[in-house]
Parts: sequence; structure tokens; C-alpha cells
Amino acid sequence: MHASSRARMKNPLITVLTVAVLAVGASIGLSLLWRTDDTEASRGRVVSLMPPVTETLYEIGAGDQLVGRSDWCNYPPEADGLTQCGSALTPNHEVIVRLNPTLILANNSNATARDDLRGLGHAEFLPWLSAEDMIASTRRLGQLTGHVEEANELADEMSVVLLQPQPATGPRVLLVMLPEPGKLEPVSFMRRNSVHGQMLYPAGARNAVDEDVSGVPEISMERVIELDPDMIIMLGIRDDLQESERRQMIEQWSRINPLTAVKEKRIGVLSGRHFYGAGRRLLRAVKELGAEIERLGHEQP
Amino acid sequence: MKLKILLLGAVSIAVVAVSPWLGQSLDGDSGRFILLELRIPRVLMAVLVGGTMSLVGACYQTIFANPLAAPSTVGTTAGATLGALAAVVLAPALHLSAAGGIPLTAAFAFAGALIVSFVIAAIASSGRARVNDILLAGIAISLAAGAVSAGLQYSADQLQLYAAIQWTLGHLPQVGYRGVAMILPFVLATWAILLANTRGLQTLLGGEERAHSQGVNVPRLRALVLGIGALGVGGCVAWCGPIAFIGLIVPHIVRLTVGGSRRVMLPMSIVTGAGFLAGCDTLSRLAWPGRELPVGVVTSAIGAPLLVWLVVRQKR
Amino acid sequence: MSSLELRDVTVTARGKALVENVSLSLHAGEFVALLGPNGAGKTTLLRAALGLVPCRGEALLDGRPVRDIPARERAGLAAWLPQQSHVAEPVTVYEFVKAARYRFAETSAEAEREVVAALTKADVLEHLHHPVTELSGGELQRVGVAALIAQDAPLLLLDEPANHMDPSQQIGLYRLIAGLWRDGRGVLCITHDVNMLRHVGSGDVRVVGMADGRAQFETSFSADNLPEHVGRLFNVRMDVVQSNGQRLLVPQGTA
Repeated sequence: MHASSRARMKNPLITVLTVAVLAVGASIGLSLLWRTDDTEASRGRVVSLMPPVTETLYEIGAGDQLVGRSDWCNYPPEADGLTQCGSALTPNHEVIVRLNPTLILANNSNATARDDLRGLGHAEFLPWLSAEDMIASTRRLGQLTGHVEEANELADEMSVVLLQPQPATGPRVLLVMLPEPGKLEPVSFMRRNSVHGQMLYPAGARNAVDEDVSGVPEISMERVIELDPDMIIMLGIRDDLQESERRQMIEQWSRINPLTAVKEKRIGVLSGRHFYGAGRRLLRAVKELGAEIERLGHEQP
Repeated sequence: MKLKILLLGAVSIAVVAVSPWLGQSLDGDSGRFILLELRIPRVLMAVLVGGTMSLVGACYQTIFANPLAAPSTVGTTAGATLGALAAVVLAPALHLSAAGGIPLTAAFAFAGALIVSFVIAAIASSGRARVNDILLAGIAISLAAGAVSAGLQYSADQLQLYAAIQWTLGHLPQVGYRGVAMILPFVLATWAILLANTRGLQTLLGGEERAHSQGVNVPRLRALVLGIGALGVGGCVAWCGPIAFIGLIVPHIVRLTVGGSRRVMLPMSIVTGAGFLAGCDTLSRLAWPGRELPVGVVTSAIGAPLLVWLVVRQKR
Repeated sequence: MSSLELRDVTVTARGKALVENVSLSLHAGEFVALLGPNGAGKTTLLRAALGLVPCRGEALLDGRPVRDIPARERAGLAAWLPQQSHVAEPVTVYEFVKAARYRFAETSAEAEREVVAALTKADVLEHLHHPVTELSGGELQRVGVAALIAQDAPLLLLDEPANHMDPSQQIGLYRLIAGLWRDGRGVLCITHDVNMLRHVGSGDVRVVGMADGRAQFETSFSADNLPEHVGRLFNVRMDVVQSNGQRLLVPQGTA
């Protein structure tokens, strides 16, 4: 006993390792005692922590079931009257509990908050990255709120417009987020497998960045020159973009003169909250984008 | 006297934090749920995490004889951050999801904290490295972790990235007692073993070589404290994310208030750290109605000026 | 009986020998003064004896290699008063001396009794609750000696204990150390000042000279050849003066 205890004392790393193994075991054992039970979904009191979900719920006629929204859900204007519940990243648990929700809707990110939200009531985590995600989630929202028909109708409309393969020919468009005035970089582009990327195909255009990019969707100006897109279109979120600002944004690109799009003046700006919205508002944005691509394609310097 | 004030203050903060008087009332079913399933677990979490971070900080400051030593400067937190980010990158590649009900980010963060601390503990126990070298190595690892984390954001899948960002924000709020149950074994083991080494740490105050001559196995003690400290901090940050500043500030506040005797300072670091984090968390809940500030923002905003004030007052 | 035995000890740092082939022994009940100019390797030798630096040759405590003895057990064989009592934090004298009781498994009350006894013996009890950082150099060294008493080891290794003290403090300190010697402890004391050994009192004090990392001579304090050896060690001429029946060595410029 004495000899063995001294041997253990001699190597502190072994002591630490022993304690670590015991603690991990105890930790897993204890955590199993507190598994969150999933409750049944029921209609009536919905908290949405995702702006496009909030918008879609109003669109399919389920807006009256909403009692809470995220801090960022600002459309439609009726949503203003709902209780703010923080964001999906940092939900305010106490506020959500006070709303006594029967359904909590959030993004399907793989984070701990999932378990926490499940502890507050029935929670559903909806994918919303690609057009396919958006359409499937819209149908799911119909099932959850009892507005199946309206949801399916909207989903079908979106499918017709957005679920198209990338055309084999057509202009190669670099679709980017409208940068801050006075600087072009970072160039934040729309991925080809995202809702916004897929908005190009109905207009017969291709995505200039024709590859899957993980991580932050940014590319360097060198890469832009290498890709040499036929058109560059910037998408802003402001409803009140002035014509002078629009011109200034286009003017900024003139420094990058090796670009064909710059030489041929095929650079456009579209701005409005609907470009980053959902539902039929987004379909309107698709039309506007198509018209802009058409205009830039015809206009000759 | 000062000791009693600190003790009383810390305990009353923890009590007030769960009390129904702050914020909205706690009536009815939802009030009961808020108290039992949200507020009490949250304050318990703050008590466990705050106490552990502070105790480990106090012990690190002793073994390194350096006031800048803390879980965040010897690389423990950085290791956890690296681990959390590794989970982000590796999970899709390995087709892993939650392991044994434990979120993957937490499991990897824990492993990261432990691996980095073991490397540092091994360097420390070899007896070849000087104290400041170890601290420097820890800071280098912290900086490297920051760089790697920024780099990873450019290669990670969007949803995984979201999970990592959520982890790095640090979160005490939670629903139910699962998190408390999960960190409890780590916290209790850490408190017990570190407090059991109070005499050795106290002896170390007279200088490393004198302590050696007085019978302290200095490399062993250093490696043990580093390793066990990493275990406790790893357990805490794996679940809650890195919570800034507390392991650095609280030991100083305690030392400047009740003196440097480790017999008093170590247990008081637990009490003060627990009260401090519970208080900061309550403020983060109330400061901005309807919203929650990350608790790390509050710990830094309160802790940093408090520390400066105590140091300046001491110098006069 | 406890003993320190150094055999052909060599300590090298960055390829340079700080101590070279030094042999020295100390038994309980002996007083050895280690004499030599600055940089002679005296402190390094003591650190090797404590196992603080690795060395070639043999450093034995009670016949066992010092690096193999468990720390607590080693602390029961030899206690050390380092040259500089640098303490980073303002710990109280009580806490400082109590640290020397580390090797004992005892209650706080028992430790407190021993600390008070040691401080009483060193005549610094009035500082019990003062921070060590606020003591004068002389007081701090006496507190250091109190810590040695509290550690209760049969061998004491002292590194220039009377540095930075005024003459009366120096004499008081040497008398205190001599008392510990007379209680049966073995004392190894590094010093520059051979005359101070007068205050150790009667008994056989061995004097070992060290320069450039090597042992130069070993003789007794009362031996006739001491002035000659010491003069050569410090590279000065030593005159001998009698005062109150005691021999004083007075340095007289370069030899």
C-alpha cells in the first residue's frame, strides 16, 4: 500500500490522468440522468428565431400563431408587435418560457442551444441554406401550423422558379453582397448551392464561382480577375439606396480595369430588403435580378 | 473583518441572483419553471465555473510566482478553443455527431485543454524549463490558437462554424441541470485536490529553492497543480466556453483584500469567484432588458477597473 | 548520526566548471566554515549538496545520493538558509516560518507552537504578525534562522548569513548559530569574514578555503597556518593582532 501510493505520488501526470478518467466517467454518468425529453408538437403558440421562417409563417397565413420572434425578424411589419426573444445564437430563455410556447423554430445548426431550446418546449430546427432547403422547410412549416395547402402552394411556386439546373451557356455572373461605400473588399460572393446562387439560373445565367466553397464566402480580388466574370451584380439590403450611391458603387469597380465586366460596363447594383427575404418577396427579387441581367446583357458600351 | 465582508458579499450575491425580486416576477407555472429550471441551474453553473476559474488562477499564480499566470495565459483556455475548432473541422469529415449525449464541441474542447496542459505540465515537471519560459510557451500557444481559429473560419462548414461561434461567446444560461451535473465531477475533484495541496503552495511562497529545501517536491507539485487545474478549467470551458478575465482578476482581488496566506486565499478565491461570476451573470441578464450580454463582457467591464482601483489604492 | 558527504563533486554550467572535484564532509555536531572570495563556487557547492543542481561525483546525505531522497525526508536531514531571502508576496513572519514545518504531518495548532518556540529562540517573536517584506535585513535573517530551527534538521547549511548587517547584528547572529551548533547540530557556514568565527565561541571550528571552484585548504580555526592560508586565498597579506586574548586577522593590501 505504502509503496504503491508513493509510486503514484511520484508521477503527478498519472494522478491527473486517473482523476481525469474518473471525472469523465462520472460526468457522462450524471449527464444521462438529465436527458431532455422531447415534448409533442402542438399548434397555437409559436416562437420563431429565424427571420425567413417568421416571414414564411405570415405568408402561409399562420402569423396569428406567432407569439415571439428573434431580434432580427423585421418583416412583415405585423411582426413588430411580437415579443423579442434574443437571437438563435443567444436566445433569451426566460422570455421564451414566459411566452409558454408550444413550438420553437430555429436554424438547424449543430450547437448546444438545441438541447436548451428543447428543454423549453417542442423545438424544430429547419434547414435554410439552399433553395431545396427553403422549399422543404416551407412545406414543413405548413404541416406544423396546419396550413398545409397554403404552404404547399407557396413551395410549388418557389420550386417552379428556383429549382432549375445551372444552364450550360449564358453569362457568368459574379453575385456579391453590396460592400461598404469606399471599399470593394472583402468580396463576399453568393455560393452556387445557396438560395441566392440559385436565383441566377431562372435568368439563364451561370455563377462565375462555379465551385463549392466552404467557410466564409469571400474571394480575393486576384481570384476575381482570374475568374473574369461577364457581369458583376451587387446585392444590397437597403430599401433607400440613392441613385448617387448606386453610381458610386459601380464607379468603385472601375479601378479593376483588367475585368471584362468593367471594360464593358456590365456592373449592376440591386438593393432592397426583399433580396434577403423569403417567400413571394424573394420571388419578386428573382424577377428583378433576371431583369437586371437582361439589361446588362443588352446594353452595349 | 475584510474576510467576513468578502464572504458575506459573495454569498448574498449568489442568493440575490436567483431571487424573484430582480427582473420580472416569478408567478405561476412559467415563474416556477424559470426559477427551478433556468435561474437556479444558471447560478449553480456560475458558482461552479467562477469558483473553479478563480481557484485555478490563484494556484497558477502561486506555482509560477507570477501575477499574470491564469488559465487563459498558460494555454489551458487556448487548448480548449483549439479543441472546439477541431471539432468544427473534423466532425463532418469523421461523420461524428454528439458522443454519449455530450456535444461534440464540448468533448473536443475538453480534450484540447487537457492535451495542451499536459504538454505544459510535462515541460514543467522535467525541471529543465524556467518558470517564465513555461508562461511564455503558454502565451505563444494562446496566440497560435487565436490565429488557427481565425484561419479555420475560412474552411469550415457554415453550420459547424455557427456552433463554434456560439461556443466562443461563452454561455452560462441553460435549461435544466444537465450541464451542472456534467461539470460537477471535474469541479469537485479540482477543488478537493488543489485545496489538499494548500500547504505545499503556501511553502512555495518563500521561493522555489527554499521550498525545495523545506521538503516540497517542486516539479511534482507544479505538474500536479497544472494538470488538475487544466482538468477543472477544461471541464468548465468545454461546457460554457471561455469566460474572460475571471481567473486572472479574482485571485488579485482576494489577495489585496484578505492577504496572501494561501490557507485563506485559496478557499476565499472559490467563494469570491463564485459570487463574482453569479453577480456578473445577473447583471448580464438585467443590463439590457429583453437581451442578454455575453457574461465575459460584464466580467471584464467590472473586473478590470476594480483591479486597477485595488492596485492603485495599495500602492499609496 | 546525520552527515553530509561530498566526494569529488563537479558542477558545470554552459561548459564551464563552477565547482571542480571538491570533497567535503559535515557531521552532526561539527562546525565547518566555508571561506572564499566571491565567485569561488561556495554557493554552488551548497546547492549541489541540497540536490538543487545536478553534479558529477557524489553528494550524499546520510550515505544516500541526495537526488534519490524523497523531498520531505531530505528536509529532515538538512535545512538551508539561502543568501537572499527574496519573498515575492508580503507573507507574515508566522506564515513564513510555518512553511518550514512542511515536512511534518501535524495540526495547525502543533505547528503554531513550534513556530512560536523557534521565533522565541531567535528572539524575533515580536514580529510574528509582520509581513516579511517590511523587516530589516538583520531581522529577516533572524527570521530565516527561526525557520531553520522550526524545520528541526540535524544539519544546517548557511549561505553568508551575516551579509548586509551591522556589527552588533552580525555578532548576535553568529552567537545564535553557535547556540544551534552546541545543541548538537552540524553547521556548514559560508562566509567572507574569518574573524566573525570568534563569536562562535570555544570548540573546534574547521575552516575550508575555496577559490576558482576548487578546495584550497582545510584547517582548524585555531591552527597556526590559518592566517597564511587565508591570506593566499584572498590574495592579501594577513597581519595577526591579539585582542582580549583572541587572534584577529587584519588584511594589509595585496600580498
